[in-house]
Amino acid sequence: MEADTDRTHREHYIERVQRTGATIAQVESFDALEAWLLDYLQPETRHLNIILPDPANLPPSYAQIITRLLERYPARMEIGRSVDQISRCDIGISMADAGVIETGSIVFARNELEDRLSGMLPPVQCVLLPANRILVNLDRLGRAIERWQTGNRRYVSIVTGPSRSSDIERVLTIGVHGPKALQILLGPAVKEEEL
Amino acid sequence: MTRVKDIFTLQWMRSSRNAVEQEALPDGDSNHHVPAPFPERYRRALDDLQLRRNLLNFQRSWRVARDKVFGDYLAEGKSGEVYGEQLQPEQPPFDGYEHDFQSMRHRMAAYKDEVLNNHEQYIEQFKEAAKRNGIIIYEAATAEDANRYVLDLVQRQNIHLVAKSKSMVSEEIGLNAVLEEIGVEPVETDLGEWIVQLAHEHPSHMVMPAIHKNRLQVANLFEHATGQAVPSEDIGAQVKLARETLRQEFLAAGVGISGANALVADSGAVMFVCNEGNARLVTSLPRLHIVLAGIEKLVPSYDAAMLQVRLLARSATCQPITAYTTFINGPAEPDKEMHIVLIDNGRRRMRELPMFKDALRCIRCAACANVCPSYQVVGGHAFGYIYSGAIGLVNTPFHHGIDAGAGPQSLCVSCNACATVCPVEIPLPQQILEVRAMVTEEQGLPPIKKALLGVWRNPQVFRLLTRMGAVAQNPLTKRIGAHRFLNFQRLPWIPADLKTLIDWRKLPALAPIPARQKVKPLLRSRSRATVPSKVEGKTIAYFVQCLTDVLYPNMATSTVKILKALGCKVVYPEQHCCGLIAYDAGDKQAAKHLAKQTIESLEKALNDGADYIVTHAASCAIAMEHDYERIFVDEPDWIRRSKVVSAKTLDLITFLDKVAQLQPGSFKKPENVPVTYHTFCQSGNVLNMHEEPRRLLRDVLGIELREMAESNVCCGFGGSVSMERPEMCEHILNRKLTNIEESGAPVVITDNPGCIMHMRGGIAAQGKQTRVMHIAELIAHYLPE
Repeated sequence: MEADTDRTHREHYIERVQRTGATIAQVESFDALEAWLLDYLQPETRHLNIILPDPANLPPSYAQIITRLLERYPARMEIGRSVDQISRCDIGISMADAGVIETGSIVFARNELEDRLSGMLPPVQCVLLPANRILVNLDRLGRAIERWQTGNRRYVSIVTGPSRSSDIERVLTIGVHGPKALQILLGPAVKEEEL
Repeated sequence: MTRVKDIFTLQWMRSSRNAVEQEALPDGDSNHHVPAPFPERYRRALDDLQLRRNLLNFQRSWRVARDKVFGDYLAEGKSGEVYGEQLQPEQPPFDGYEHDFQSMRHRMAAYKDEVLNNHEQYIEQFKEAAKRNGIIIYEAATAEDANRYVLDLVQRQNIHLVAKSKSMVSEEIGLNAVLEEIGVEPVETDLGEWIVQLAHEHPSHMVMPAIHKNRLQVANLFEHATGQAVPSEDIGAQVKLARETLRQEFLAAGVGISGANALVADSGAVMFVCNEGNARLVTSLPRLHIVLAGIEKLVPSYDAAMLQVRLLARSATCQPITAYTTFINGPAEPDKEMHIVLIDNGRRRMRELPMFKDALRCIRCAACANVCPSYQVVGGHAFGYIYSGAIGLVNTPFHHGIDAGAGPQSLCVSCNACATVCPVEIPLPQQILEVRAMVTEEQGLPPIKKALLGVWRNPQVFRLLTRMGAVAQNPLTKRIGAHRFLNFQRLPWIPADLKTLIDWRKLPALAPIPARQKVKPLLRSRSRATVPSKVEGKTIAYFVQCLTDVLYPNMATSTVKILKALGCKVVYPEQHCCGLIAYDAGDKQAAKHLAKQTIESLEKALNDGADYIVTHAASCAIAMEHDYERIFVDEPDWIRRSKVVSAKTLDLITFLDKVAQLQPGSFKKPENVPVTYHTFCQSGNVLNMHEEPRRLLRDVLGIELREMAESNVCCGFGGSVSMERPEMCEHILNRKLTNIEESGAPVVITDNPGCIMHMRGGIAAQGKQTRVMHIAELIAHYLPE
């Protein structure tokens, strides 16, 4: 029952995300996650500068993969440390604290500036979302935000699709001040205490 | 509300007038931080063909997109499976709430009222929660106070560059001008705001600030600002340039100033929504962050905030949610400094006035502008001051003084479209009429309205003057098509003011014999039910309406014939004018006087045995039911009496459809002439009457009905507004006449004599052939022998 609900939640979430102009992929295992990232980033062939999230702030299962990437490709992949460095990068990868099915959104609740900027400054934003961090709707998110803010998490962002504007002649342009593209990777579940 | 309190309000508003310059500036706009005088803004808008075209396209596509996004949400709530969980049939929608717009906005209004009714407690709660999290709060009583605080901070920290994300309240207080005066550079980072900043203009729309600009104008502005060549056709390239240029400003700014879409009281959190991503950069990159927020932005909790999120983007940009919705409840990094300036600037004053308090619920979505027929013609610089759209007409007197509000409020035609889309149920049309009444009390009526109302006030005078006029006008009338109009071409000279009134809309000739005479023989004749209905044998008191009486007796005789054919006894009570024309013009005293006469005469009719009061003039029936409680707000006994009368008062269509319940097959076979239907704005927007007239035409009469586009958009009559603002009303009328023509129907039907007068006049002036008929005239035409 629960597994079924999880699966339909994931399917609904994927469908909702696709409506927002973001792209989404799904992996079932950590091996598959790592393989997907390598395939997406192509560090051997594409000369992109990538910002990775600090493993110290990640659940251990995800932290391991990030640490391995940092060790293998030190020239291409770095943890975000300064505004300058982050603004020169091509792709910012971060970990989401929640997803919301109702709106097809991802949610961040990180205080660390560099962590937030990795999703704001580079033109491409790539987000890892453990499948069991998906919430059904905005009301459930409201409860989560209250819990986070009690725990001193001060800056919560609900992100839905890439940045956009219709300010000039009402013509829609994707990619304004924020990212031009948002890629979500729905990954394996994390333990309860890491939710 | 006593006169003393009214005067008190006006006194206060007069003293906050200091920001408004009334003299025309030599080059028009050299002091660009204060809007130019209203007449100049109005003139400029009328000359701007591109603005009108842009706004017409915008309003049409916005309406479709907005209805779709709310419709999708409703369908989702009704579906059997929501978010992967199968609902049982008896279960409510997944989140436990109704997904329809009416329920949502009712709930949101309740949340906002909860705050406004306990405002000081919620302000305190918010302040405590915010301070606990390390936010520094400042309460500013006035615009000057808020500006001083920001200036002080900026100077103490030696800041020279300010990055701003969208904040209407910063426009309200004129912050940018104050910063520039001391050599600090504010840079707007919202794309639309940056464009208008470069153009030295104010936003012309609260959500789409540069909607009045085209890509060529934007390219020129960007080129001038950056020194780089900018392709004039390629909007993508223009946005790219804005991204690159403004990115440097984000990185270099010493302070980020943002607005707030909501303040969450129990968490001390600031909520703001954004699509471009600039708000998150402005609030993250600079070390110092200042939030400017009106004190009305408070909501009790996250539940309320999330409901606002659901309503706001749908109502503003027709999205389920914007790209970025952010909640900040404290400085997020160790060395970050965060301030919130809570601004009053007239809000507490609004809160103290029951007629205006509800306007503080506003969530600044601009839906009210997006459905406004007047706004479409003149845009936000004329239809507003800093805030534009219907809400701008209401709050401008409180934030910028009564003089700033006087011009814009004169543009409202009281069609009520804004009230149908407001996500927090603000009674905007009524509040705009309150502002009109205040302006009228302060400045007097415009001469033409004064003359008109002078004629109307006394029934005997009215009848005498119209009788005399019906004779004296004879040399000056001309038959055009089926009707007689006043024809001034014979005169050797016409004053320019009169010319602007008549060259686009011919005024009707007075009827030689008024309706009250013409119906007499009909009243005396015996009723014989030739059309089956549920009202045979009932006694109907007929309310004829002042305009119909002297201009369109045919509508009256048609209505009486219909009622007689239903087997009703028809009586004609002593009557004059319901007072709507005076209320619309801003003269509450005259409106009260006329309304009291009407209530007394209709009370007598009911006491003498009438079962119903029926009028073919929907405007009067609606005025009695909905406007009298505003007109008599300080005389509750008259409200009570008016409710007794209006409970029995029906417009003709409602009477025929709901009470008489006419059936198909009772009328003569219709001629093969298709008709189109104009939904009188009050009937549509206040009574929500859309299907009823169409049922009568299509099903009962069996007539071919061809729908026109925008059938429920106002024709531009607006009572006496078309007398005071003929230029604007001409454009609104043309929109309607074009829609009628494009429907392909040679006849247009409606249920309001005012609309009919307006449309017939425009059609005659344009030499067109379309016939405009009251539905009563059409139905009477098809009565069986």
